[in-house]
Amino acid sequence: MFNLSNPKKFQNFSDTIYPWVFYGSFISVVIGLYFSFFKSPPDYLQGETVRIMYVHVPCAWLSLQIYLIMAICSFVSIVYKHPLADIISRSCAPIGACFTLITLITGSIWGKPTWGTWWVWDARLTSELILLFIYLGHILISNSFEDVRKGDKNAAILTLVGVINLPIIKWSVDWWNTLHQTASISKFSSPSIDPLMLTPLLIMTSSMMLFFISILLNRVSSEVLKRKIEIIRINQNN
Amino acid sequence: MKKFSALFYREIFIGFRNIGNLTISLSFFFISIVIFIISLGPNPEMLSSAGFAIIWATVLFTIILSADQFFLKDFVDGSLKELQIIGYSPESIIIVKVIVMWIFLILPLLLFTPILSLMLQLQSKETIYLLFSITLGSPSILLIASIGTLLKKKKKNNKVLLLILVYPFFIPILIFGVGSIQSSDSMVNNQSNFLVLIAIFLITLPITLISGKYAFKEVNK
Repeated sequence: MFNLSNPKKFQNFSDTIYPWVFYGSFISVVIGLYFSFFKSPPDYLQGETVRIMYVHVPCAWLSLQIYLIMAICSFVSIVYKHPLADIISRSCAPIGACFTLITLITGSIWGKPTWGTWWVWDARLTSELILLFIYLGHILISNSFEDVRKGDKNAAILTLVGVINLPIIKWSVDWWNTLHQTASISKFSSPSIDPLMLTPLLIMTSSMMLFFISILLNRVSSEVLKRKIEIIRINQNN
Repeated sequence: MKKFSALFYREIFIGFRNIGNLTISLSFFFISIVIFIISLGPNPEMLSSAGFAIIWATVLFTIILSADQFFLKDFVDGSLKELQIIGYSPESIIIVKVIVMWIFLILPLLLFTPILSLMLQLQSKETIYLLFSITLGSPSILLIASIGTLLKKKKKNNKVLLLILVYPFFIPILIFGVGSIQSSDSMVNNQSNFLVLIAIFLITLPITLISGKYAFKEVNK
């Protein structure tokens, strides 16, 4: 088994799997879009607008998952001081912010025809907006120091504090009586969603995950190379 | 005129270099509006009646808190003095700075305002009034704020002092800026509010330029 915590070995590993992940995401997004446009029925209440779900829901799931990854990496970086954890956390933040922004935008496009308004200040939407600000804060604080490592440490602390927002987002629809609908897909019970709609949703989710992994690998390996170049420069100057 | 454009390009160049400051100012603008909304409660009717005033007040605070980033660095590294030695008059420096501040601070705020007014359930008519009144009111706010930053140069890191220094001069702008929506039923009143904002700008421009000249003299001492 390869030891992925070694940056060099991680580099080799990511170079090997990167094309598979990237083209896999490309192929599965085509299949997922085909299924969601032609093989799934329109909703009896919302009509064709329900197809926004196939972008909105995977992005929302990913925005939470990426934050969870960042939180785990921050924990590892604080406890074990592992350099790769910092790099992964730093590379995740802009991707997570993008997915959160896509969630908010598609959600408001979906909200206009179904709720009659672009935006309401209910618990789910507000907490998702706060998640966007936590991502932005992470990006700003990790770039605001001359020393990259110092920025990473501060950002890790911020990320661990912000974890408290995750359960609030997840269960906000159950805790408060909100306009946003409750979760219809759960692994433990039978989902209250038609299999014809579930299939494209799952395909789209897997394609977005693959896309996320491919961008993440790209960003992490470029960040590792950047830091190597910096070390080489410092050694040359000395 | 050629010298003027050279100064302008210099400021634009610096503005693009410090684009991170813009992100922080915009985040401040957005987050303080979110705080207002959370403390007011999500009731759409209340939000739509208070939204205009919330956005105006937050624009004011954003300008005050981010105004000194345009002067402070030039003051600290001495280029403010250097520019005067080269032969730029204090007036031209202030005018160029204010134009660049408008481009790098107010323009992004204006771009964000329609999104925020959607989130605050403002009507499209109100949004247009809001954009007009911010556009007309912001140049005078920037002029006054830049004089304030020059005056408080000796105390570098105290941003609240600036607020205390300049808030009396903001009050008429705020009154007529927000007033443009309170009388939105009749077109005549509305136009008169916009005209008053323009008049305030035309009065502030010479006064701030003259007082800016003396503020520069104080800074150079």
